[in-house]
Amino acid sequence: MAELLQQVLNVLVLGSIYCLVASGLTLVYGIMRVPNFAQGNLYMAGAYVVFLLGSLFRIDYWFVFLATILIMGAVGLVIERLCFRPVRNAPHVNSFVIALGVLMAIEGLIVILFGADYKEVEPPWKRTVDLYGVTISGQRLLVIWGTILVMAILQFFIKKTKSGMSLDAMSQNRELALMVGVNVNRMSLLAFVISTGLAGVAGVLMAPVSFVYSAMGMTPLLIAFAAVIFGGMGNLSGAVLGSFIMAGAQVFSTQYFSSVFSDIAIFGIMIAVLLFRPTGILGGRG
Amino acid sequence: MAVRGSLPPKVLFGIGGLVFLIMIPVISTTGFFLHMATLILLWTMLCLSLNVIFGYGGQLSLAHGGLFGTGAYIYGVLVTKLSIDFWLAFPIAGAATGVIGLLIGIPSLRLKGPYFVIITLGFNIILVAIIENLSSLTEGVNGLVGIPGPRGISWLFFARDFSSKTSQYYLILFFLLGFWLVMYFIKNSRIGRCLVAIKEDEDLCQSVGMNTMWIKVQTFVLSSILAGLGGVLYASFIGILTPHDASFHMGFDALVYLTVGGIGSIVGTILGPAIMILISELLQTVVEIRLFINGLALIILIIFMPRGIVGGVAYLWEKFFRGRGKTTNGSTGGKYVTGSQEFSKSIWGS
Repeated sequence: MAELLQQVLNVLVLGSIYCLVASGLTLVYGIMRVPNFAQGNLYMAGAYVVFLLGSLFRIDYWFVFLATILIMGAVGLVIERLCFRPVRNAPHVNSFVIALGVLMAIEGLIVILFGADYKEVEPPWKRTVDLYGVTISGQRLLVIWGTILVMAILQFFIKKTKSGMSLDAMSQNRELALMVGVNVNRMSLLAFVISTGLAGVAGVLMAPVSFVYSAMGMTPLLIAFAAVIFGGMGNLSGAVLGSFIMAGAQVFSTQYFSSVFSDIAIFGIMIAVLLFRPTGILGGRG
Repeated sequence: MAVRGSLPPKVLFGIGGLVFLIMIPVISTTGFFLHMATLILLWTMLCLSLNVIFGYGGQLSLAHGGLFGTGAYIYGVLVTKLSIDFWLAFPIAGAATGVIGLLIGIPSLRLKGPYFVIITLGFNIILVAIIENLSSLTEGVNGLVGIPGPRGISWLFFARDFSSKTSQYYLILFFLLGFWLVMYFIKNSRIGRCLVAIKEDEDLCQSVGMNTMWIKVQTFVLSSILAGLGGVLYASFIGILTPHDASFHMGFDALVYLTVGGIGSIVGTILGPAIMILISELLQTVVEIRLFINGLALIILIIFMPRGIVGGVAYLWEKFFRGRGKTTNGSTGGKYVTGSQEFSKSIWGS
């Protein structure tokens, strides 16, 4: 029983990270129709910002939390303006290739700046919590609660504010949204900045739990893609659902089979969904 | 452009380039330079296979690194575990990669746009996972070592022995020329013209009764075979394989090289790898700086010069030489206007 609870907690922690990365992916896809291959590396960059501020400059974790979100938002602003805006009217495949270029450039830049070795970030809480016979570190609980909080704020933003509703409208029906005067450039920028901000949050939450290294973004990216496809590209609740299902598939297949099998299980699910229900379980856009 | 009754400049450049490629072992003073030249030819094969499906067919496959590595691994396993000869293992590995390409292509090509790109990336991950997991055959993450190169053919006077670097270079160049011919014939065949049409508007092609799926699958399988055969030559040249040789990073690099050279062009498939590999060698860079340069090059090229060096040169050539002489010809003048718009917008040549 305790073992099962341990696995469920693992699913929740991993699922939270995938959920933050996948929400960014699905948001950008809904607005810009670009599968942002750089999202995983933006998460990695966020973790490196935490390492830089927290471990090198010794700034307090909670301040680092806010600073990372702002820095990553600014990074998103720059990337959207410099890389994606110029190809907005070109055939879609141009922007796919740009996204791959951003992926490589970020990873290359991080390794040039920080080197290729593994970094560690001190967790703000060293305490562990005892939960029905299972010990869980405070930071892992923070991952779960932080994700719930951020996703709630995102949901509030999308459903209750004017900009958020414009985003939602545009991802649901692009032509109609354009017709009623939603500004494409502004929305693309907003979606991209939110998505990089979410990647930053994921980086802040995860940096003290796992090691920080330059290839850490690839697995979350691929699993987030699987999650987004599972729930339907452009569908936010689908991405959240998909993330936890993929995390479950990963944790339990690793537990009962092997980690190689978990890769095959996750991409097997993704490929099966693509083949039999390409719009995803909850319905996608475009 | 004055007409002198001579060969068109394209053909002259082609012959010049070919002579240069044949002369490389003669003019290269160090063994290292010849090694680099051979690696460039091998990368050209991967770029070329990607070009068939992406440049002509418009389908951005991220599985080609995996297919290249799969071909290499099939060859490696055949020659090290079953002691099969190169000349038998080469076609077997090519055919087997073709079958894997078929298995990947049939589900993937039903999907369009971003879905195709993502599913091919997923298949590449699965290929690597399989290679890592079949450690009784592939030695897993430790890597497969001691892969022999081709045995000489005793009755062929110039191919009696492939132990020297020069002979291996010529063997690989020989196959590359063959691949280029295949590519040229695809481009100018009925399938090639269908591919261009599919790239422009697949729904329209279907509405006039074209079996687009079948054409795309054929092209994907052919492209997989080319990638697999390139992988075989890579394995026989390098002699050691790790799962990294099948990773999607190989496909990403090939995409960068292809973009630098010029997507959809034959010359571009060798110009891109040559320029990018020589630059990274001249800078003596470690792999990570190369990654940064590759990513930056990809972004800048797609924004400013989407058809790469070949496209850029062709554009300037038309602008400065051809365009002036023919301004009186109204239809030709019009063509250049659309040509330049096309140039600035799409990464494909028209």
